[in-house]
Amino acid sequence: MVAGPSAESIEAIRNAPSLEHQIATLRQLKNDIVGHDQRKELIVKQGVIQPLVDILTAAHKATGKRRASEDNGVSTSATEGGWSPENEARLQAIQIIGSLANGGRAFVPPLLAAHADSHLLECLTTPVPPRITTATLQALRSLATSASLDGQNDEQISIDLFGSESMQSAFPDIQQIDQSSAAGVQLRLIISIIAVSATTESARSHLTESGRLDDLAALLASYAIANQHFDYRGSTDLFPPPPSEATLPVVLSAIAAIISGSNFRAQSFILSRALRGLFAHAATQFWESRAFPARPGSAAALLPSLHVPQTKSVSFTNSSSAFPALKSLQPERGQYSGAGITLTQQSADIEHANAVCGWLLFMARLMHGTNRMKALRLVALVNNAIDASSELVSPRSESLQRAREREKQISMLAIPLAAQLIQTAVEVPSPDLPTADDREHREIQEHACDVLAELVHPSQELQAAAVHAGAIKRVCSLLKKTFDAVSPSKPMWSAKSNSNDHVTSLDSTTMGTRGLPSEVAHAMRCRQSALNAIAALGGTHDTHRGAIIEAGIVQCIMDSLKPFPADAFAGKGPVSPKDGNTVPVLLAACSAAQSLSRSVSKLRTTLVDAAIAHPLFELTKNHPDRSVQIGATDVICNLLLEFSPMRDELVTQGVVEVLARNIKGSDMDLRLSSLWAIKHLALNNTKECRIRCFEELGSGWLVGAIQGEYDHNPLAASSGGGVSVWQSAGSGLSAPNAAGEQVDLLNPTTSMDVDEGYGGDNGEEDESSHDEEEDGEVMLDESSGTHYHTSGIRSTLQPPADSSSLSADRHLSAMREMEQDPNLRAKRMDVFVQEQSLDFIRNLISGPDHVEAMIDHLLQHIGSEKLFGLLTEKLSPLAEFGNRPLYHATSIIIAVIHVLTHICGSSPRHKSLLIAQVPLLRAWVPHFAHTDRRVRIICIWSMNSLTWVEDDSDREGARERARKLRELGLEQAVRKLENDVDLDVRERQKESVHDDGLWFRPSARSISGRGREAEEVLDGDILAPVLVELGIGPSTANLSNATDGAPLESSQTHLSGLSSAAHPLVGTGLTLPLDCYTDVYIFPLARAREALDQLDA
Amino acid sequence: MHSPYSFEKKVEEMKPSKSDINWVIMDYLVSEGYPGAAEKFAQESNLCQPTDVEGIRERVRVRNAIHSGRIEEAIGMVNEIDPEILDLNPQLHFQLLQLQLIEIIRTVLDKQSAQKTVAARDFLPAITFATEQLSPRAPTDPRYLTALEETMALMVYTPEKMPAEFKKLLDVKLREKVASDINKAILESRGERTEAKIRSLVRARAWAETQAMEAKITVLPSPIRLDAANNHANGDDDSMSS
Repeated sequence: MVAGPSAESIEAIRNAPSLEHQIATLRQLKNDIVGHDQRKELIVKQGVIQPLVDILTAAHKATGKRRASEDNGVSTSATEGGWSPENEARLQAIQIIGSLANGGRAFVPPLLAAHADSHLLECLTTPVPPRITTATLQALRSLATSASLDGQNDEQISIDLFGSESMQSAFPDIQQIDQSSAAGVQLRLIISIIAVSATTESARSHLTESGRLDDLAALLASYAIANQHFDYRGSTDLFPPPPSEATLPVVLSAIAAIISGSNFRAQSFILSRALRGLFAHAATQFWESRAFPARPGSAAALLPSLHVPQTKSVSFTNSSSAFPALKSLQPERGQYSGAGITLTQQSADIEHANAVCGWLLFMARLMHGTNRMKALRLVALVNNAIDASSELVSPRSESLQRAREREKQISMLAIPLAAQLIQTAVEVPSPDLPTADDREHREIQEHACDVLAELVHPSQELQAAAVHAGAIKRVCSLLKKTFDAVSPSKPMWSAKSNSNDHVTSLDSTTMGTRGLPSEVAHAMRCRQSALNAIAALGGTHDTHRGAIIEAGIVQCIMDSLKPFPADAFAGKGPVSPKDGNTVPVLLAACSAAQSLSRSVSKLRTTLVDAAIAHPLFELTKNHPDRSVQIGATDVICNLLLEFSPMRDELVTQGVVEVLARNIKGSDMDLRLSSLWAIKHLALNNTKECRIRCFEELGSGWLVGAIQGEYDHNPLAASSGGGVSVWQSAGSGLSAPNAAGEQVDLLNPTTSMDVDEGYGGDNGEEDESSHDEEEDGEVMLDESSGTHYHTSGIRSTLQPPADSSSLSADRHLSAMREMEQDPNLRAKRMDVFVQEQSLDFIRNLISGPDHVEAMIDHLLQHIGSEKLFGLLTEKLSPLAEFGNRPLYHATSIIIAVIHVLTHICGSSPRHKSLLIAQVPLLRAWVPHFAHTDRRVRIICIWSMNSLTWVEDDSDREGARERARKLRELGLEQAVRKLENDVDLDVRERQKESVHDDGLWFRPSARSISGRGREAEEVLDGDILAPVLVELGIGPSTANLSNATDGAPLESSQTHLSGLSSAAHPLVGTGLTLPLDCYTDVYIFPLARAREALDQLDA
Repeated sequence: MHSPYSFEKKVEEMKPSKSDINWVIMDYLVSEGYPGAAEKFAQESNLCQPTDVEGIRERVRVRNAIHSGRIEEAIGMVNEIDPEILDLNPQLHFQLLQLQLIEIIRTVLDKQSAQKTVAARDFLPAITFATEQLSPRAPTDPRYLTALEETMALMVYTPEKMPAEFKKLLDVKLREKVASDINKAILESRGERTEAKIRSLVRARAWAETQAMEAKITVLPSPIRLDAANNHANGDDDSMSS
């Protein structure tokens, strides 16, 4: 055994004859254990922790007493002058605890068992000399760092340091801190504790709410002023003393740690008081200097100016005069348009956000190594948050232009830096690097790919930029490297064999499980981050996926889908990184596989060859961790598509049963993923398989899911949400409904169009149609009688056009509401489940074959009354407010009408059955005037199918159906769409209604005539943008254009009622893609799910 | 474009102010550990006093201990300043322990050369120390292993026959290097710059000179004769005593 401290010395701590003796023993003990992990372990087993903690508690009591005796005078004892032997003993004890905590993960459980953490925190609340505070913070940081290391078997140790009041109070008043003093060191320690331990959702929101995030932002701003990033002329009273160079990177990573995973927190950072103040004054100064532009160098460019092509529609407002801060970033492009432009607060906010992003990028460019990596991570988080929140407000052309500028900056200036970092990571360091550089190199290897992934994942352009910078090759070679055999570090040598000689079994003397060996943990982190980068790079472009596969990493992904076997750590041999993977790696591998599986060609070739279905199914079926099950299910979702060769194999293996089991389980996210997967499975499958899916779910469950949980009490649900209301000052088109929900009639359609269509090649055309749509606002006013029960995601986010701080605050509180309100979350989740369940039914009864049989099956098992009743309920208003009805969320309406469309397209028998459902048809009527054009289109399609003459024997039936429809007012509803704002709607409408007002097609001859017409329409530009928008235009292979990381939704509607020979679209090889919208609707589901995940935590 | 004239002009424009030069000197005195000189200099040049005189003194004490071979004492002092320094820098810790082992061996060797006798058991403390302190870490990294083996080899040779590669371990230069590393580590743990500004300035100048010579530019200002650019710890001279 390693000599050194003995049981006697521990005894001496406990029963020291004098304080001096105790201090001497403690000091000796400290010198013995520092740097010697074996000795640390030994003394822990001998029970050193308890006496150390006792010293702390004794000291607390003593301080308490002394404080009580000092009749509320100033506690001058808490200064260096009052350094007592008790203090010395306490300092030594704290330092020993800190040193033990540095020993690694295994030391954390015994320390926690003795409540070392809470006693340390207690030290922070009592007035103690600064040396003790510093030592305490160091010990806490060591504890937090060791606890955050990867463990075996993926168990987590969580220490909630920030939930406690004491940690909160320990955060010093940053305004008072002299950065060079001991307080500066303490501040750095606290911030680094934040950076390490802000890993849980609760800790992060706690830090945001208690104002720590604002403090950090203030430090950053103050650094910028001190280092003259801006020509700042405002008052500096607002800002704390600037942090030192050493503190800055810690501040950056602490901010990144807090804001990651939440748009609300990211926006809180961007809109924090300090940053607003900083840019407002930098801006004012700049504004003045524009009047006297002769002074050179007054507006030094932070970033090189980039040429960003202007879009036509914004040419008259290409630069915002309300917020010139961005100009200080890009001075060359300053064509001020001067007065006469009214600018909304919203655009000022966007300018501000862009300025923050540019400034962070500027700092990243100044830094090197790991610091640069930290800064880039923050840039990525901020950039994504801006994108995500401007997605929520209706994009105006001007803000689109701003977003494009920012994207350009990121792609030209940030991505090359990230790629460079990865290059550094790939290079083998020279063997005799000093330790510090070695550590830095490892850190870059572990996180550089993550940073790249974070930067590029939301944007196709950025992905392309990264690929252009050579990212794929580097990332792939990094991934391959993680499978290299590592020379496992040999354990420390000791003269005696390690006998397990401790007898007591107190928790505080039992070591916890060791962390992964550091080499393996390193390989795991590198692998995880490389896989994340692959998932992000292959997110949208098929060519990228091809390049990734060519780099030969499919086998690596396969190997990364394999968890560590249960006995991996019990075995004798050392664990190698080839043996398995930790949970985070599994998740990253799933998302990489998901990315690649979006390519049909790869799905049918490389991925089948690799037999990727097998490990994924294993994970779905058997892995104990929920998040892994969800990740694997999301990939399986793509493997179950109609064209996937793995579909049948998975069914044989029992995927239906596993999915059904997970759907009925309690986890909502897993339910949603599984429901989505089974929906894909039902599409165009054999009759047997469809029935099997249906039976496994059970009609009872399905009915329950469609009914939903919240609908019966809409008032309670929405008032509980308390969504704030914004009354649009200018337009007056949007009005809050009585439920307090913002019903914005402008944005659903226009925002969709802008988002989807405008990235395309035919930009010119889009611009004009965009203008047209803005003009079309008036039309939407007509339909303001209809209100849709939004799921509260989109509509409340337009900031009001009044004073800036008020608006920012309100903006933030709305965001927070959306992210954090459990009611809203539950409601959203419920909407998703209802939508997916309806889509499942729809896929069940769709397709060229088995339509009638499946409808019959459905009617038989659910019961026709029940089924139609359900659908009627979904179309009916949830509640009435005054004379305004409130309906279900649009996504549900769309799903319901799609189901109806399929029934409409079935046999005359089913058509008659549908026509007989008078309440259903009555409830349907108002939706013909839905604000969402997709709803209007499918409504017309269904009417088209319903009045279709199947054959000669159906002629009478069709006439009868048409008569019924007129009676119920549906014909009138269709006629009203004649002057619809949407061209597509107008064209469909023309096809439906005949000049003579008859509803059925008189003869086959005229059908063929109409077919020609339809082809002309096709030749025109109506369908083409739609198809491109849906991602099924010319590049059918690229399936997931429309999806944002979410599983592919592919249930093409086959309007079987229009017999294939006569269908106007037949011959073009296209089926009308009515529904690919569903998942881009409310907002991209993946992001929704992400947001919900965090709330779940 | 870059005529000598414009260069000269630029140099003129860039003429550093007196206070900047004073600041650089002060910075050197503080980070290299000359508290007495720093205080005096502050008085003479009307600069404000260095903030943390006690911190400088602490570093000086550690350095003096290492320079005079009292390694155990130095380890104790470093742990007193901040135990994390050695806990989180295993290599630094190893270097100190290696130095301590060398010192133990050195005393034995000195005794040997005085008495002209070799007694194997004289080395016993050294072997015990190596077993307890150094060898546990040795297998974890080949660098440690080599260093330990080389150090142990000191016991094999008599001072006269010792090969140069081992003899360099007995050189006091090694102490200076470790002392300088420790100084840096302490500064780093406090979040301060680990190097005096003047060192990087001199390095920048040396680099520029090399570049100029490579570019065959002959009109150069007279070269600086200081070798501070490559020298690690240049001097345990006068003001080291605190």
